[in-house]
Amino acid sequence: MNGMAAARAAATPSLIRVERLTKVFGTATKALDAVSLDVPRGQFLCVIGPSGSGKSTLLRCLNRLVEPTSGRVWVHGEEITAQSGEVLRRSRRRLAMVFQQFNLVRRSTVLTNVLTGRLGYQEGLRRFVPGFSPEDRAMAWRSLDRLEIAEKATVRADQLSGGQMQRVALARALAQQPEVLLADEPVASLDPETAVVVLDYLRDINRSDGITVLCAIHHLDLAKKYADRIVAMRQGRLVYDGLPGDLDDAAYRRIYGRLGYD
Amino acid sequence: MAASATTDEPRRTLPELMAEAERLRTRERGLNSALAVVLLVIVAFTWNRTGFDPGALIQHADNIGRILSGFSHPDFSALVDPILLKTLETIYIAVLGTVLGALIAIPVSFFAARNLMRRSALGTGVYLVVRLLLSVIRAIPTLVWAIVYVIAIGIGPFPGVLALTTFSVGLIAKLFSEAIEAIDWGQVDALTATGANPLQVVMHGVVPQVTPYMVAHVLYTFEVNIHSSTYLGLVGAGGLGLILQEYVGLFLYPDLAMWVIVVVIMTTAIDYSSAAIRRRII
Repeated sequence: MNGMAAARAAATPSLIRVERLTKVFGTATKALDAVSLDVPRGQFLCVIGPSGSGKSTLLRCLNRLVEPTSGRVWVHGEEITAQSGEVLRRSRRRLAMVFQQFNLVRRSTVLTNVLTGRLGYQEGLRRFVPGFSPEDRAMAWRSLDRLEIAEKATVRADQLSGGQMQRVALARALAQQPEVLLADEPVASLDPETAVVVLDYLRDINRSDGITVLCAIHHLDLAKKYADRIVAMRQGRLVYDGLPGDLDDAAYRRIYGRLGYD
Repeated sequence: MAASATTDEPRRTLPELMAEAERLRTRERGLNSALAVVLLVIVAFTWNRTGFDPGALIQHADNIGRILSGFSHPDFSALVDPILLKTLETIYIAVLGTVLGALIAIPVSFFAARNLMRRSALGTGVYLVVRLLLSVIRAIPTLVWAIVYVIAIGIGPFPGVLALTTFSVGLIAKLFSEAIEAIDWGQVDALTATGANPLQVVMHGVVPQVTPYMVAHVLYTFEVNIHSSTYLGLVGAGGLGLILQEYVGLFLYPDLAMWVIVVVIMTTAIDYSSAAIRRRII
């Protein structure tokens, strides 16, 4: 590492930096209220909080699927909130996303779905015609193999079970060769056993590939099991930031406004 | 836990709830009666304005009998030439008009889809202009389009094809843009998140969702076009309509009967097979 790079690394200790991020829907509803957050590279961060607390909006503002009202987001020292067009699309490549409803292209095959993770890498004329390069195909097969779902490659996505769909969505995300994986309630539509399987894959992607994970999740026990760090949101604000083991009854009451279980 | 079970509304007793339901039921009955009266007034008014007169049907029963008498001895000598020949021409006109219309309409319909376009000022502008053009195209009846093209380029099947092409653009673009508006936006979000550009998102995320509807709407338009192309000949735009005019003008009722029989068989056969295919696709 040369001097310049070291200096830059010191100036930007976090991979993701969120500064006073605010999102107002309509005129009154503050989905995010001046949220600030630093996420170091390689962390498995779980964002917990009740429904409507702003977890999903926070994640969607990071890749600008939702346009923040004010505040700034940096990834890798580059300000995402100042980007547009081709530059923004290049940043999105680094920030893969998986969703509660999986959001696979249901009428396309599993392989085609994973290949769409390569769209951000297509250059020139390739972008204007259907089809993918042999390198992209090889990458898609590796991702499918990694998620142990390669035998479903030629099956239409709408024929899969929920757990299989989320594994395909993770393969699509991996094919994107991201630095960050934004997981928006990835197991909320799955039964408890399948949820654990999917989260195990997510943890493996985090540990083996060094991909930073931001996971919105409302199951507190799952968050405690998988997270390196937990932040909690309530009514658009960050109300807790700490280690999973430190999340005690007092903190719980602060997040959910009462003691109890989901 | 129990705290979350309380509601803001005060609890009402069962008799109160029953009275409320009864009140709603009475109101609904009143509305239905009012609706029936309105409908009756509309029928009476339009009956009067159109000179509707069932008596005339009986009074002119002999004329109707003469037309129907053709069906007792349809003219089989006209079956092949000209009726079947013109039937083929009618089908050719409808096929080419539908295909050309679809080729133009399918790209256009993406610009007429609210959810894709109304995301920027420029997009909204294009959307409104395209929508307006499509409305104008649809507002002009197919027969009028045929007259326009016949005047412009002369009689024959070619102006018929152009008339159906024009109409098909309006119909297919409307139906297909509505299919695009009904897509699952989550799949679009997922592709946007990969860093794909808008064209890639449409190609890989929108097109797969709407392909079955595209095929179905084109088939439906073909059914409508088969119906239209049987009478476009009345204004010189080719197909079966030309000989229809001749048969009616010269009182050739056995030939007219043959014509009707062939048209009924052809259009029902195409309607049924097309509808069957559409059902299998969606």
